[in-house]
Amino acid sequence: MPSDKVRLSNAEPAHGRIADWFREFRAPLRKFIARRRSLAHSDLDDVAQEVFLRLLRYERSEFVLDPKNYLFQMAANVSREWSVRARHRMPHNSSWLDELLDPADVPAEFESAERAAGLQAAMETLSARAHEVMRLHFGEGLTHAAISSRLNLSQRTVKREIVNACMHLRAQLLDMQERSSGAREQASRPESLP
Amino acid sequence: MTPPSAQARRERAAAEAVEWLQRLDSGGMSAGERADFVEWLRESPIHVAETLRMGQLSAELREFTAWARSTGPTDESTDKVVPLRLCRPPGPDQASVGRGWMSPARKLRMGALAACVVLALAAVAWIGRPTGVYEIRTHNGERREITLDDGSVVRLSPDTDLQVDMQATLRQLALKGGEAVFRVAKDPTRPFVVNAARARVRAIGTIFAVTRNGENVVVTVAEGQVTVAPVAVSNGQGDASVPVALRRNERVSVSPIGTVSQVRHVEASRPADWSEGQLVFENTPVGEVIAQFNRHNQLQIRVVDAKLSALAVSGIFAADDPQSFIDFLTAFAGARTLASGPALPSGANVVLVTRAAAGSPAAPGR
Repeated sequence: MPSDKVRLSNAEPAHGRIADWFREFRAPLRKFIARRRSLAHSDLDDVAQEVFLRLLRYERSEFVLDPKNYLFQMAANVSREWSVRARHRMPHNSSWLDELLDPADVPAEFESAERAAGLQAAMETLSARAHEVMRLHFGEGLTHAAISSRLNLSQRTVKREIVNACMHLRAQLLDMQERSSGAREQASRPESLP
Repeated sequence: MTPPSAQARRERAAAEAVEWLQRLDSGGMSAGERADFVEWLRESPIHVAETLRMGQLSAELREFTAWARSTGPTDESTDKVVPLRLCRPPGPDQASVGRGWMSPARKLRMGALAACVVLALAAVAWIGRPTGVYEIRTHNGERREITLDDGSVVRLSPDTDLQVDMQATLRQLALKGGEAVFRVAKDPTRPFVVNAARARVRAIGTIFAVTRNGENVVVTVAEGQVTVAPVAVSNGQGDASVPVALRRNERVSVSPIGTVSQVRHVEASRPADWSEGQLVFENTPVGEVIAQFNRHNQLQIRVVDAKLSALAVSGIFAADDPQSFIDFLTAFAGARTLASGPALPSGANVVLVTRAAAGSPAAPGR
């Protein structure tokens, strides 16, 4: 990913103008730029809604060949279409856009770093057995059958551990997302005092 | 805060999604089983959302490296402590092979480590990886407008198959079937080339349409200029003949064997305005969309169903084509035309309800 997009522009646009534009469009524009990089977790439901509508429209037959990859490709397409479309809808000068993209500032990178940390913290809260099953399955790539024989558990138990662990991680990550977006909202409000 | 029933539904969908993903990843699913998965997805956007969410989690778990536990909640006695390894080194056990810092064994392990790290970095944000080539397809009755990475806009007719390959020095598209109108963003460093059957159309900044019917291709220019060159079958390279320059309101055909017709003059009506006359919606309630259409058209639509009015839709529509939106709602949102005609008592020309509401006794009579 190009993180070297920041360059100091020698020609300075009128400060007033860029400040106004910046103020008005910064938040939504950053959000749409972030979308370009990965499926931002906060936008997942919006993308899913659009993907769902497209699913209803398309022929089932080609989808059935490789449904998972097709689904994720569609999500990526929607995400990309929206970000590109949004960039062109908002009147701007491309050099302003470059100035805006401070690599230290991009929400998507922050989001993924935050998520990685959150995932690590969430993993710590799993039971030892659940953690081990998850490690063998996702870390080592073992099948349910291999795990069941290695840990002397039934395959059904292995499957259940995986599902439960994933649900647990999901809950933790959603909590964290809610807390951090709430905190960010709070921080941007001038009236809120610590 | 979501009401408990909605949350419970989401959680059930999430658990089902994990089960589906596990089955899909383990392979060996029959076509029938995969079709079941697709049907499940089509039941609700929540199923789609949770599949995306849990799929993303699975991807992150596969990249996860910090499996070693510092501490953990104490519980079942079946836990086995396995030493942390970032990656499995390939090949046989190297414990007995070589000594020293850069022994063959160590080199192998370092190599494997490096390879794993590279793989991990490469796989990060896999959904957002810069895709070199991708394909867009529209189906019967579907029109779509896509903005490409360079700012060019492509409008696709129904039953169109377009492949996009944006490269560093070339913007390349392949029209496999159907029709597309291109509004090409100016980029002198990168020619914009559309390949269709035996035709290669090249533009720099212009508006033109390419229609492909089997192996017959027609190119029409609305603005600017393009060149049309026939392409030889065997190697895809241009043949010796000179490319034909096409200007505004000119049209040319390229036959299946690569013969280029005479340039003829047409009234290439400018494709309905690209920036004006477009209605773009993202998660907008149908009621609001309808209000927009009504502002732009003589045909007035009225939605009498609160549920339908509140339904959120996304898309781009030609402002002067409300019928396409009505068709969309009828086909995919359970809408039904309750009445239509020149001028109904309500002042509307078309009245829409949902199918369910239309059948209920409370619905307004015809």
